[in-house]
Order: sequence, then C-alpha cells, then structure tokens
Amino acid sequence: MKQKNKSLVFHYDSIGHGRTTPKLLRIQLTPEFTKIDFGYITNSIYINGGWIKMAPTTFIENNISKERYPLTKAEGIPLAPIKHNFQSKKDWRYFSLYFPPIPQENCTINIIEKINGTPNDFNYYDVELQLAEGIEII
Amino acid sequence: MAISRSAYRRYKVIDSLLKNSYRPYPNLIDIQEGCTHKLGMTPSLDTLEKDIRNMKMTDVLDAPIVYCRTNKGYYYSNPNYSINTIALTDNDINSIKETLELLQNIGGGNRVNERFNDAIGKILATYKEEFPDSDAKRKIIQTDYVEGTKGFENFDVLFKACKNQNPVSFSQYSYSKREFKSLIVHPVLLKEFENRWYLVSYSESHNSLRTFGFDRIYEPLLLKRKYIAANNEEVNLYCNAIYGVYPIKNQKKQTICFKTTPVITNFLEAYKIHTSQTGEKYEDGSCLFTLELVPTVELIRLFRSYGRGIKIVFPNWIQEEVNNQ
Repeated sequence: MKQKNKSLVFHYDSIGHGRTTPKLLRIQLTPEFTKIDFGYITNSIYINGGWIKMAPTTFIENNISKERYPLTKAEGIPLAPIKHNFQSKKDWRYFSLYFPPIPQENCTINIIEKINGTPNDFNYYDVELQLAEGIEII
Repeated sequence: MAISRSAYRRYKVIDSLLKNSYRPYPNLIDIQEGCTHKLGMTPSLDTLEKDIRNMKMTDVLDAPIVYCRTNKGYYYSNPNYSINTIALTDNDINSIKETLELLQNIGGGNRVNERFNDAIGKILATYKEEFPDSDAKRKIIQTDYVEGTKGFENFDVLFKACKNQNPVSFSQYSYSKREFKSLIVHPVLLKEFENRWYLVSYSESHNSLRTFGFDRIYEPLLLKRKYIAANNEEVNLYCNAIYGVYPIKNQKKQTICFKTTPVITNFLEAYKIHTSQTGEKYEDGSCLFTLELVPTVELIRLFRSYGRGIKIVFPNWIQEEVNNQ
C-alpha cells in the first residue's frame, strides 16, 4: 500500500490516438495539483493539420462520487476561443492540463472537455487510477 | 605541495583555534589539546610546529600566522583569513577566467550549466574580481552549437538521473512512427553526436537499451523506483563499439571493410571514424580501411556522404544499403 499524499505518476499508452483525439500519456497526482499529459498528432483530413484548443470549462470528475475538479491551467494548448493552428498534416503537439489535487485513492475518473460531446471533443471516460500502479516521483 | 588528509585535518583544528576570539593566541600546547579533543589523537609538538610552518608556505595555504611574543601564542596577522576561504593566487584567478571564456566560446552559458557560471562568479566575487564577459561576444572558437536546441533544457535532470542512477519517466514522440509514448527508462549515459544530444538508457517497455534524442523527450521526471542496471557487455557494445547513436536492428559487432580514394584517405587518416579503424595504404594513395563495430544508421549515412570516394568491400549487405540511396 502506497503512502498517501506523495507525488505519483501513472502511465497510459492505450487511451486516445483516435482519428482526432490526443493520446493520454501520463497523470500526475501531487499534493498541489493533478496534471494530465497528452500527445496530439495532426490528421490528414484537416487542411494543414487543422487546429486544437481546449475548452476552459474542461474538468475531471470522480466516476463514483461525481465530484468535479475544474481546469486550472493549460500548458502547450491555448484555451478556447484561441486556437493553435498547425502548419502541416505531419505536425504534433505535447500539452498538459492542470486540475486541483484529487484524493489519492483508487478511483476511476472522467476527463471531460464537453458534456455529451462529439468524438471531436477531448473526452476520456473511465480512466483508472490504481494507487498500486502509481510510481513515486522524487 | 600536496597536503595529506591527516595534515589537513590538523590544519583545520589550528585554523579554528586561531579564529577563536574567546581564547586568542593559542600556543603549541593549546593546539595539541585541541587536536586531542577534536581529532581523538595527540600529534607531537614537533609535528604541530611543522604544520604551522607548512601552512605559512605560499604554495600551500599562504596562512598569515604570526607568533606573538607578548601573548606567547599564535595569531593571524590578517583577521579575515581562514583556510575555509579559498586561497586563489593571481594565476589561479586568471586560469579560471580563461576557462570561463573558453566555455563561453563553445556555448558554455547554456551548454554547460548556468549554475556553474554562478558558482564561479561567487568565487571570483569574494576576490572582488569581475566575472569575465568583456570578450565573450568576440568568439575565438567556433563550434556547430546553435542556441535554442529543443530538449536541451532537460540536460540537468537527465544528467542527474544518469549520475544518481534514478529511473526516469518521460513522454516521447517518435518522428518516424508519428506516435507519442510514455516511457520508464533507466539511464546509462548522455551522448553527444554531431551536435545532438541523446539519452542512452534501458527502456522497460522495449526491454533493452535504447537511444532517445533530447528533442523528442518531454518532461522527464525522476522516479523513486529500483534502478535496473543494463548488462555491462551490452552497454559496452552499445556505447563504445559504435559510430553514431542508432544501431541497425539485429546487426552484431562485425568487421566492415572499405576502400577509399586518395583524397578521402587523407580525411579518414586525419579524422578516424572509430578507434577500431585500421588501414592498409596502397602506392597510389588509396587505402583499404577496416572497422570493428556495430553498424548504425549514421555509419551508412557517412558512407553515402563520401559518394564515389568510398567503396564498401564487405559485408555485402552494407554495400547494398549504401548503394540503395
């Protein structure tokens, strides 16, 4: 059993990377914040790779308690209505979203950019956070 | 003159007694008692007398120790002196300044570490010396280094990870696969090749040694996790028996033989491709070179860059690879 309130990182390699959604790479749980890292690659269906932005109303929620944690900061991606326009169909973008710290306990969370959103929205459901799988950060 | 460890420990005791304003002018007996108390051993009075003589020597500590006949004890004629401050001669200061200029000329400000510059700045400040920057803009040495290299901001973290053998978590983007991944690696070393920096490490997901370009590493985090040391033989092959950074898959260390024109021979004699390089020169100035290494993407690229100046003799597969541009 891991001690609570340490800084932990969880690795994900299977969520996302759909035609238009970023890949969820890592989640960091710290006493100060929750940070989620994403990697986005542009798609040839869009002119010059299209654009990305993040809704400022994005939140994470505990799947059981439904408690919500609003987005506090975004790094590497602008908040809507500002967009980041790509220059080519072969571009990529690494970005991170910050939320308030969530309790360090086994849980499942949803990352929601838009409630009942389309596949184009950056929504991720049922993301498992098993403390035993978290690795302590020095 | 080198100072032995035991002598330096006695010097520290002598220094602390001379700096003690509550009990000024210690004599040899006081110093002997101080050593007994602080070091748990009692040096002879002769030894201590010799220590004081040595401390006063310019090439040792240049300590301004003087014997006061009135108070029958020793003191520092310069009350600000202490062996805990670094005694730098003018030559030392000039050497430091020259080294700093050299570092700045090769891109030292960003490339080495700004903390190093700050640390040296502090040392020089104690000597009321200016931090050298007057000549920094007039470059005397030019290197390939271009400021603003992507990923170089992670140099410190990755250096620390290698030094302390801390596993690292990072996100990585593959240019060729157009894919992001989150990885856990166990760093072995940092490597510079053709002005690009790489992290060589054991990758948990690949279950083998891998090379990662700094430019494709995002936000490395040091992990509190057991370090997995890579196999020494594998590390040696991967890091030493190689030209470049990316070994060609499934290729082992092997003999590579190629013939060069006289012009290319000159270059390769002057700048060896690898330490294993040997050559058999012919009368017309051409040469048959041999390398013993693990073939890499960069080696093939190098061969191609010489065009008709190089002809691969064996192995055949490299010959075909070089010709299939």
